[in-house]
Amino acid sequence: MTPCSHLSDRMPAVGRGTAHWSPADEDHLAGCRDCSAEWNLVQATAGIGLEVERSLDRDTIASRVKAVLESSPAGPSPARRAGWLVPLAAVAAALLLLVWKGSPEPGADGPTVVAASLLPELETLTSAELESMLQLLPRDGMAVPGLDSFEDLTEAEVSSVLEDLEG
Amino acid sequence: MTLPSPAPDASDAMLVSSYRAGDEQAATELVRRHAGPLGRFLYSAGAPRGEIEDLVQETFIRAFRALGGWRGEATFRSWLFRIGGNLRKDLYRRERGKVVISIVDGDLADPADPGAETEAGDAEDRIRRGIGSLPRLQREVFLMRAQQGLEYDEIATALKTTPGAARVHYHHAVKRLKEMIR
Repeated sequence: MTPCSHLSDRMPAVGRGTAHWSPADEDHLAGCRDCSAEWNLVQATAGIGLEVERSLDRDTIASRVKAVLESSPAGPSPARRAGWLVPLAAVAAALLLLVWKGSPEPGADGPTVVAASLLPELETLTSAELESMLQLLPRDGMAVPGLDSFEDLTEAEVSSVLEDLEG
Repeated sequence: MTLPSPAPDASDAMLVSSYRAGDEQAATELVRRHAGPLGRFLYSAGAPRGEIEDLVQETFIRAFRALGGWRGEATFRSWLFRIGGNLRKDLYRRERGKVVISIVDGDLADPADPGAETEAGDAEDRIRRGIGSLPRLQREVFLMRAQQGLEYDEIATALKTTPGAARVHYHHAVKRLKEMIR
């Protein structure tokens, strides 16, 4: 582990006061611009929102939560569920088609085109709806040719995939 | 019959069990315990200050309705952060991608030292704006790590990823934020 990684790993704990820098850490911090910038960032982030945290009226929130739970203890109403089931089913069907089509021939762009055309649909779904949709997909059909699981990727490859997915 | 109030030092898991057994006071204690850090997490993630109380309330309502989904692998708090993060994302979608940084009285300059106060507020707003513009996993991993001090294992469990991926997200977030606030 490099000195920079070592310091980076300890910054949250030192920032929260549950650990302290050693003299060697302090020497490194003083001479490394990258670590110094990260340390400033972590310290500043640790201080954000303290006033918001203090000002929240916990008792009022607790009372309101209790009132809502007592008045409607069940999940979303059937009408609300039905409201997003139709587009959800359409997206799931299209994704199943994408999976079923499998790997493209070299140079073909079939699945990519399908996936690109789905993105606007996915953007309209809430996270709960997206999670429901993902549960509909067959897990063994999601395999990437030549890759048994995402666990086989290196961190750099995972990073690259995540960057692509998140934009 | 009135149930006794839960002990203040009861663990979250104990309170959840009590709530499932019908003790509503346990839910109240969980809200009192976690509402503040949850509100701070959401605010730091770019949620408008005026929306924080509603977001916190809605997060708890969803959490209590979905308690069957919490099996104790992640801490109750990090599980709440995940639900809150989902709600914040949904709010962001409804607002058509605009992260609103609100200005409230507390953000205004102190007449006794207007320069220093404004400078500190500017820096905080810049960082909040930067955090709010990060991809979701980077944002949540960064806040759970840098602000809440959670370990990568715990973050990974809460966000259903791997510790290695959580570490990568954190370092990407740090890199982007350093560039943004330079």
